[in-house]
Amino acid sequence: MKIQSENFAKAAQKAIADADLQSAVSFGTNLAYTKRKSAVFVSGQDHGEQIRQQAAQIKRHALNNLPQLLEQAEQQMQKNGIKVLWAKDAAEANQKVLEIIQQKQAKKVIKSKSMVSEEIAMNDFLEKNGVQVIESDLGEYIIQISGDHPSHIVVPVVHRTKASIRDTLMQKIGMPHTDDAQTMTHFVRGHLRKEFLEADIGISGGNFIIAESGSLCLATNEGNGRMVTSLPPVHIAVVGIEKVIPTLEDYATLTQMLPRSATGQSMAVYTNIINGPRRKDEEDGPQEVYVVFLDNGRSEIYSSGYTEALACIRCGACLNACPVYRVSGGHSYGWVYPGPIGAVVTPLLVGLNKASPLPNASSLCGSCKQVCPVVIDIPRMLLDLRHDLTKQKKSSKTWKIGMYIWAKSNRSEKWYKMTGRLIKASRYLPISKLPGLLKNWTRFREMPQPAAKSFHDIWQDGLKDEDK
Amino acid sequence: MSNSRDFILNKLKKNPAPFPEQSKVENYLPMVKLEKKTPESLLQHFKSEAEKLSAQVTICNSEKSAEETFFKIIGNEIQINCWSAENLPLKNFYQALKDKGIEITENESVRIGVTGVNAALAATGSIVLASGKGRQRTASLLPEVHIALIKKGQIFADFESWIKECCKKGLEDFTNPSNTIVISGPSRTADISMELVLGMHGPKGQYLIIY
Repeated sequence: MKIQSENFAKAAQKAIADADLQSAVSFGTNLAYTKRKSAVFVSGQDHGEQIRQQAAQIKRHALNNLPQLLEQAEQQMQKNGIKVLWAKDAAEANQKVLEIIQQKQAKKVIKSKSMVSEEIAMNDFLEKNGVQVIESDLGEYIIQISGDHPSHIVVPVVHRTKASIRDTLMQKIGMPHTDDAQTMTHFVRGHLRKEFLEADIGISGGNFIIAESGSLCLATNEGNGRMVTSLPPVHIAVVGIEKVIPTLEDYATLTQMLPRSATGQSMAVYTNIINGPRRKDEEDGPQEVYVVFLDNGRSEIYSSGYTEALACIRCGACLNACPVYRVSGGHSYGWVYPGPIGAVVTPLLVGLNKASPLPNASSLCGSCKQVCPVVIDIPRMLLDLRHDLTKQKKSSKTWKIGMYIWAKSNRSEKWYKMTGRLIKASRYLPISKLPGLLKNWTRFREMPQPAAKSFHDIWQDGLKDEDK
Repeated sequence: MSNSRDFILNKLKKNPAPFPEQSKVENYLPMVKLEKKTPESLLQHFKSEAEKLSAQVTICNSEKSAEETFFKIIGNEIQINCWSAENLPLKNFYQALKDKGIEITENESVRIGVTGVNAALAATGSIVLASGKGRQRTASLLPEVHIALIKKGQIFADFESWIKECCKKGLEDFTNPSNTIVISGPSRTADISMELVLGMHGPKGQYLIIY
């Protein structure tokens, strides 16, 4: 996927002007936000907070031991009959997947939802090499046949209305006209069922890897995750190296926090633990299972001041809570990972110079940290990224001069009071729009009338009253 | 190939632990605090949680009434995708199927799938199914309706207590099956305008018969 994060402001403006997108995104994010609360706080708010801290501790403890856990996971997986491969970057991961496909002389690949495969643009690569790739998550499938990109980590088509999805399904796969979501869903069910049965290879991502047992874990609702990992003779999973956790007990906490934070479900419909290829006496399941451990910039993040970003379990709660995401939509962020966590991860994975607006695409209100199941301090990292930006001298001259004046006037009592008096004096001027450099502040709103008394004045008055 | 492995591991190992103040969790809190854990309250809790997920739950008092419930659910269907006899808790089930002339097949078009379970989890209304000989995955995946036969003694308080039991038995036992699936209700999606629809790729309906 082409990186278009430099375009954030323009793309966001377009999204804000799109009434369909606004209503679809706001409805979707609000619903998920509300449902999350009752699911995480199922045994009370205090208990929910304790569990959140527990999940945070589990993930950070896991990151502390990341290289050792990867070695342990590899060893246990091999013992379970899983073939483990390693990939430094997107190109190597794609190449390794293609090699397996070619070795098996496979023609058709069916995929379950995977953000990592979006990150490495696997579909494009495989299709260019003559492999037919079919997405099987309903949202991803709609995205695929529309030539679109997902705009949300969990609900890929949150930006699309029912009517626009209906039109796509009628046009692309000959669905008869209907306005009923259930009829649409079941039409796609029938359409994709034969693809599952015909596919030569199933490709998935992974939500967790349990090191002590060598298990690959997936959480899905639709059942495509099970189909993809059960029906085709070969299953390949591409998983980021940060997904490994030590124990089954750790898994028990995290795999419940994930759906509660993502959609407000107490468990995903299918919480899937994969221990390897079908055993000798089993009737079904794949004959071969491959797991590709993908780095693609993660080891770089590991050694930076942003290691916390690797704790993310991709639940999407921060997207739903973010006032910026809610109006700008996911596509504005210009790459695979949108929302607050995307604003951190994108610059780290593709380079700050290719995503410079993203650290500023936040009001730093802190909602993201408040809902994060593993308590990632996203606002802190956004601030640090802004700091990095300034250090790289990426800010414009006018910005620097403005900040210089602001800093000066705020450091001296005299200057501060003078600015205050100036603003107060402007009270009687008929100004509703600011001029020149400041005009962007009042482009979409009126300039409020300055108050007759400043906070300082009121404070002083109060002191005088008390003196009496 | 091993180059990338060493490259990644060496790069990671160069760094000190990024969160030195964070150690292993000592006492894990369960996600859901259950007030009562008597068998009867767990049974009722399981039922109400599973029903919230749109499962149809029937609690029976005898094998015979469990069997009757089963035949009432399948109505006129004459083919089922079913786990082998030794993997089902009902002793005379296979004989009863034979008496009614019901054929057992793994054909993809079969509408009814029948399985036992390894465990049922009260806190979340989930059932746990491990793969194995005579325990095909397709039975709980391909058909439109999945019927699970559960013994009352198989109900655990929650996912955590089932995991604890697995740890007690040992990791070898845990990884023996190629696949263990925790199912919570019928398959679902809300991808189209956040409207909940049951039966995306997996079963549209789930029946749980407990006795």
